[in-house]
Amino acid sequence: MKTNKLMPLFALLAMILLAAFTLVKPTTILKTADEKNNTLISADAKSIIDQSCVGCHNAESKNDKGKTKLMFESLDTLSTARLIAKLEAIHEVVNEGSMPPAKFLEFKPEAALSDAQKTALLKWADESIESRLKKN
Amino acid sequence: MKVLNHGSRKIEESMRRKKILSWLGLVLLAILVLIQLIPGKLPEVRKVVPNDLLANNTLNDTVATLLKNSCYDCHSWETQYPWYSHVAPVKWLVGYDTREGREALNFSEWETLSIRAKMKALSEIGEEVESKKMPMPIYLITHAEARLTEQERQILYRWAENYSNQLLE
Repeated sequence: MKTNKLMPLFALLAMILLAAFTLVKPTTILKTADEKNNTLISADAKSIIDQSCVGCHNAESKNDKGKTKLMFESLDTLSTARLIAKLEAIHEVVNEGSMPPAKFLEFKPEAALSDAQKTALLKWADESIESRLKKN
Repeated sequence: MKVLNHGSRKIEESMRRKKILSWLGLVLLAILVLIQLIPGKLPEVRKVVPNDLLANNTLNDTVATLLKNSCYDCHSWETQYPWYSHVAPVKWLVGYDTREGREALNFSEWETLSIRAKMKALSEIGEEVESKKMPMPIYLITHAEARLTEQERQILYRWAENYSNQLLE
């Protein structure tokens, strides 16, 4: 009698647990996928890159020169040597301030990099290069 | 009478045309002479290059020759200027391209580059050569010996790729 009374409670508990599982599971899967990408582009760097770089440096870009020089979504398909080369190029253009191009910033001033953003990007590129050089 | 008039007018016209043309020629010649007075030197040439790529590394002969013949005029301190490159306005163009070339990549300063900078340069060499952006078409007009066949482009591409991978080891 007592157990019968508790049955609905157990059932409810089981349902809550099941619901929790189905809710949690996909997010954990998403998280690991995110983490995989993050090994290359950190969250910090990603928000800056999305704001200031990806507009031209993506596979569907109309800017052919920008596209052939660098596509962010295919960075992780490159060999280590080529990846380091691209990261070094990013480091160089951000450091000298030639990217984003001044002409582009006339249209889109909000894409300009602040000093803090520059520092963050440079740090990201630097660390990504050095960790790969040391590994080998 | 009418015919004669017409004929002399024709002669007059052609003489006027000749006059204008010769004036134009003279003006152009004067401009060409005058622009030689505009100061400006071609980028310097250095014979002593202790940090040069070829001086410090044993490269495959074919690769070394290709680099020397097709790249070194703009991408090293050892530029060989032809006579006409001392004459303005060609001088300005050659000077500009040589300066730009050395700034992007100077093989004479190769050993001063960090490993990562070398890897970036090698990756870009491969890209530029494979996509035929380099050597520049305007340079090839007067430098037939610098032209690269498809096979030579592949040789340079593979050299750059292998070298870069070696730097990782």
